Amino acid sequence: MFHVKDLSARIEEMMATLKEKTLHLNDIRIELERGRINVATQALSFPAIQFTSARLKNLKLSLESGKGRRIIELSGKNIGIAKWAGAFNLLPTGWTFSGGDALESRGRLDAAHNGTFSCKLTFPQMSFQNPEGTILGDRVDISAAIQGKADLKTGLVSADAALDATGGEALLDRFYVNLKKSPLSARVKGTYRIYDRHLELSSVALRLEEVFTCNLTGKIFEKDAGWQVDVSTRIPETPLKPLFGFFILDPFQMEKPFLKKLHVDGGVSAAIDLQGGRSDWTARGDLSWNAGTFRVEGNEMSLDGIDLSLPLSLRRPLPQRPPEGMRGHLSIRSMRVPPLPKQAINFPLESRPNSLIVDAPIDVKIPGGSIRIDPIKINALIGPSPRLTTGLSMMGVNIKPLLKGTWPQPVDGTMGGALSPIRLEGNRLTAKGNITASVFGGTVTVFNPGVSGLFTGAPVFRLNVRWDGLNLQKLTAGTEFGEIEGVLNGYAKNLEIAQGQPQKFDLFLETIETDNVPQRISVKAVDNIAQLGGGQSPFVGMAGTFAFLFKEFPYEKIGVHATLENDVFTINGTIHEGSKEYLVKRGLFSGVNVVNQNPDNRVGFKDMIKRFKRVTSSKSGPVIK
Amino acid sequence: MKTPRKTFWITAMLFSFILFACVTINIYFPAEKVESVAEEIVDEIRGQKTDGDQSLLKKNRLSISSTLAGFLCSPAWAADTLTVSNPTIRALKESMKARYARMRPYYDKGVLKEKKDGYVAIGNASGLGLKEKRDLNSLVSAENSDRERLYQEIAKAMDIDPSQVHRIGEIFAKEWQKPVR
Repeated sequence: MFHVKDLSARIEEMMATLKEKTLHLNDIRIELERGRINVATQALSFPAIQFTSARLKNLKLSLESGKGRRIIELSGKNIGIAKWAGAFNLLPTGWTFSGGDALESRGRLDAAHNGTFSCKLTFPQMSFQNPEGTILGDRVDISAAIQGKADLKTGLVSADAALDATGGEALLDRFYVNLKKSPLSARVKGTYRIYDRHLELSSVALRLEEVFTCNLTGKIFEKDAGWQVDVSTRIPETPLKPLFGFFILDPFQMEKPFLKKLHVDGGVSAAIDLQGGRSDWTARGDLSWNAGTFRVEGNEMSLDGIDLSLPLSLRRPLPQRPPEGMRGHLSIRSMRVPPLPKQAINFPLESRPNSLIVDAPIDVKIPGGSIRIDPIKINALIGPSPRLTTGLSMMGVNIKPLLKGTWPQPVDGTMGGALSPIRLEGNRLTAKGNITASVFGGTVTVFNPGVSGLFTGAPVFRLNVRWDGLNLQKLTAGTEFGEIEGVLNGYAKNLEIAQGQPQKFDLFLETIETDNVPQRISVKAVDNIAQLGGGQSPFVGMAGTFAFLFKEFPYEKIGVHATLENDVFTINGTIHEGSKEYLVKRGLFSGVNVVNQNPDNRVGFKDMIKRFKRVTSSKSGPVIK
Repeated sequence: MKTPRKTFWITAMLFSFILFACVTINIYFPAEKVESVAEEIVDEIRGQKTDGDQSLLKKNRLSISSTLAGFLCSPAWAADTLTVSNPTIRALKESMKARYARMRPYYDKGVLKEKKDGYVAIGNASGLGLKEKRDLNSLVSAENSDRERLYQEIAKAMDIDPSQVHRIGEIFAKEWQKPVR
């Protein structure tokens, strides 16, 4: 028996290699007050060893061996675990950590090589940051504990682990959490087969208080020199409002202010199974939203009674033979999207690898009829830019209710046509096809509409419009512009509308002589055309003196070509005779000519707005002859 | 007598010469006009000038231009064609102007830095809380997203090749980098 008293030792350097990692310890100092070694019974006891090195401080070690058992205990405060782990590349490179730590651990191994262990690590007031500054923690109180048993003969380790973050704040890119208000906790139960490298997770519960809980079971194992997972994740029914606030509203409202106007409610749940390795994996499951509501503040848009079962099938790489699709559905008890009438909507959903499909057409009621939305396919769900493809068609839709409130007189007519395909990719929506309205005795056709910057603060709507055979009397009746009789053809090419204002167009308006249709124009309409084209009323001076004698004039032709680009309008007449350019050409024996005297007739956006205002308020252009 | 080999080489050289002589790459880039647009837009966003108003310097410049142009052609509406604007650009300017009020304190503290490519970045943010950092990250991301769109819209409005959008950003950078007003 040897008794040891007041032993003090200093080791300059110690090195240990663990797999590919080499651990260096410098300037090691060991001190112990007492201890004993019994050579006969191969027992030893060192109840209090003080261990200090250049990086690890204040570590207390206790060793006990004998009677078929071995016990080791490690404890200490402000040891410098994070700095030590960082120095040995046990933590990601470039991360910084500061704060205290404390350790309490105990391991016991008996003669049959069965052991028990427990370890509690706390990091009070810990601050950390990754090199990019996107993951940060400020004075976070972290505690981690593990306890379990091990059979070293079979290599089976069973353990319960817990991790809690209960104070301070953390930021993961845009996701901020006040851990005092919403503590984060994780509870893990599992077994690990050391020799097979197989971790069986019998229960994992991750909880962010007041936000969500996620449960997981499954296994993680090594196969073909790579790690594979086979896990089932379940998110039990959770109120959507706090989830929406945490994951969408708070992080993105600065960039997308419209999010502040969205109100969502209901409960969501999820069940997702994940299998595979880093380069070959499958995720299949279902996301549900029950008793949901979605409202846009101040827009009267609302969806109530949402019942969504969204099947999800993601896979990399895509299989050569796709597995059978998974089915789901979306039903909305009451959908109110102005100007559409309030209605219910219901359609099935199908998920195939990396795709989501609505394989049946959906009929949506609109004022005056209905539109049919073709089957919808969303592809490349896990790519950088998912693509949505669908189509739209309508037939015999009554225009009157559609234009109610926007046109001064009731308008009779019908609308029909098809847009296919309609594609949405990123912020860009494009459509091919046309919708034709039979109205005002003629037709108005909209071609290939689209939107760019759709989910931004400045979306731009694009379309081309052509009109043929419009009866001007019906078109102008009761309008502020003034009445005109005749038949109008024309187009608006490359029309762009942004912020509710025209941004770009190439507009062409020309009347065509038609049997039995008189061509006459009211004084008010002449005045307005001249004001818009030339900036002032033609009825001034002598012309003004005689204007009151007439209510209308006959004309031979009206022709206007206008463009808008970069806030500059150009307005020209399309009728050319000699050196003159007419916007309105008078009849053979009488009438009025509106002549454009400025071939480079450019008008700034603000000036044109003023002209529009004048057109609706006073009379005051070109030369009238 | 020319050998076929010699003839081949002469033909090849001649062909190459003609080919290279014909390849002319023209990329239109009106640097001075972009500079003027950048000055005007940045002034407007940072509050020195309101949309539609013109600085005295600008007014004087226009009247001189108009006077000179008067000898050559009609001055009518010439002022309008000097601006680069449309509803999208106006909306972007309004959005950036509103955001600038929230970004200004961070410029004053030196937390925000203007880069040479016309975009803004976060410098030393050590004095900020995490929530404030998150909000600042969002502000910077929204600002840079608007600036990218603004440069693209200016390129479109001025008929500049999309491949030159980065040059617009570099010109704007000189205006953004001027002391915060």
